[in-house]
Amino acid sequence: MAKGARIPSLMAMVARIIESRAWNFFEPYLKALTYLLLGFSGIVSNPFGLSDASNIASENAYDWITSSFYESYREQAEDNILVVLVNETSIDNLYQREPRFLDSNEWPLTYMDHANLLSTMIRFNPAAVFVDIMFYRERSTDQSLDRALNKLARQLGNGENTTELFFAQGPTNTIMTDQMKARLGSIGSLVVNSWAGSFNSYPLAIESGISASMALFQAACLKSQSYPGCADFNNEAEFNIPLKVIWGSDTPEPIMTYRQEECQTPPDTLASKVWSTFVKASKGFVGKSAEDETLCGFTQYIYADELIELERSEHPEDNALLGKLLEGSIILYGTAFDDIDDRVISPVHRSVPGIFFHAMALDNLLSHGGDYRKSFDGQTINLLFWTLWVVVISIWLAHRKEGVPALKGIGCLFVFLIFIILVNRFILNYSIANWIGMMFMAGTMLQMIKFKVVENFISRAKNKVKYHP
Amino acid sequence: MKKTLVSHLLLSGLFLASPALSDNNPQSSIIKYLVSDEIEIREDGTEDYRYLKLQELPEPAVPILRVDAQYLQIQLADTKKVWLSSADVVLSNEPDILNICQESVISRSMQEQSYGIRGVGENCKKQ
Repeated sequence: MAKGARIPSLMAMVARIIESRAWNFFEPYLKALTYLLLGFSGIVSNPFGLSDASNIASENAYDWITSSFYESYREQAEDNILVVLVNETSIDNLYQREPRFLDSNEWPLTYMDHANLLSTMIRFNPAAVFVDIMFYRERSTDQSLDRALNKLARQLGNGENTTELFFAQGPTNTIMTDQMKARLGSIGSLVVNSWAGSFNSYPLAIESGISASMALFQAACLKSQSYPGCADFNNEAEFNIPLKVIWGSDTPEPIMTYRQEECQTPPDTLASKVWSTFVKASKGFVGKSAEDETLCGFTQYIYADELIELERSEHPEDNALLGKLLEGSIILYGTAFDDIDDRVISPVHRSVPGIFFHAMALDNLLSHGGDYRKSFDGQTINLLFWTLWVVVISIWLAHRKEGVPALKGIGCLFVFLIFIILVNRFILNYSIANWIGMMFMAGTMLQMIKFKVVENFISRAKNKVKYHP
Repeated sequence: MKKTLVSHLLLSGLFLASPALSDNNPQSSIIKYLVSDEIEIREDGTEDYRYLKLQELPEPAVPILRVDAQYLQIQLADTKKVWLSSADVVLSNEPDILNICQESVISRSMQEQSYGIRGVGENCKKQ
């Protein structure tokens, strides 16, 4: 048969279907399928990176708005996570002291400087110490590595000390020399602290290794089961999916009294938390974000010079405070320099030193154990929510031929939004779906229904087919 | 008369020399060892470090003979002079550390970017 003859016969067949009674049955499905495919193409094709951008914006906005309601283990147990920071000021203060405490007047510190600071912490027998500084190879300009490792080894092997020491190795395929691995491995364990992943995603088990927070979580649970998240810490299968870090806005009391009033006070009563959530949601609509706030970190932290000051203070209450801070705690030792690219964007705290990412992930684990928020493929969840929306609206339209009135449409969008958040938060416990993108698409769909865009399109197509010779 | 003159000269000399002396001998002493078992020492005139049991060290307060950067020189019971790190001890006149105040707000604007990297410190010279 000639090719040209086949097309008119196909058109004729389509025309027959359109004119038949069966068409009335198929038309609503065809409309629904059109909306479904339009939404799918928006989600999957990620035009100009818009889907990814609104995914991140959705997560950021949700985490910022709801940050007052983050439930941390420390509401039930003692706050046991402490970040110790080295920054410009701490180096200046410790170097300018007479006699000096540090050998270096600038970053990087010598190995022995690190060992002296770490020894101060280890003396108080913390549960674990994580060194978030990568020592990839022995520096040719610093001869103190042997002494430093020896000092730490003696400190760790001393009598009743049970501290576990962890060193950052960088990514799984680290460039750390085998010699360095062996030397650090002789006094501690190497853990992964860098990876490629989606925004705010924190892998727990990576290939053959484990990440810093997972190692600290296990060490903490082995020593004390008082954390709510420790119930299933040994069940490795529970921790295969990366963690989506939830940032809380609660701020611990500053350790040093002289820096008490520099940060905004987060809401502490239920009423103030609800009000704060409402205010943030309203601000979000006019383009505000955490960028306009100056909250202190969620995790308590102390600078290296303050640590040394407390230890040497002539006031017994300072020594007691230091003992309370360090004994049995989980310490994360890292840096806070302006010009070193070790910062993380927190939806609640803006840009903070990278070590707070590990600290927050650890808090998530100690608080929720295997029930942590999973970093799941957002696209799949978005497709499911979109399908559900199209099905529900199509069923409604099948029963209400006059369309969706504007007010009811807004109501539908609001119910859809609440539904997405509730299912995400309380049933799936996955990364928050792209609710901003979803609201935009759902709103566009309602407008298309209002202006009968798909109907007009189908009717034109019908006419074309019907009058095709 | 001669005796008085000599003693005056000696006293004046001591008075004039006192600031210089105080650099090496800050009239300070060690009042506490922070380590519980053993401490790292370096014998005077050597570059070798080793550990000494606390029992082998003099009981605090231990006078400091000299200060060199972060190291303090003390005298052991057998008159041997050794250096130990100021990180391991507490001094009688412990100096203030927090001379420059830290900031509480550790966060920065999300827009802040740095298009360079810090160099190594000037104190990081080849030995």
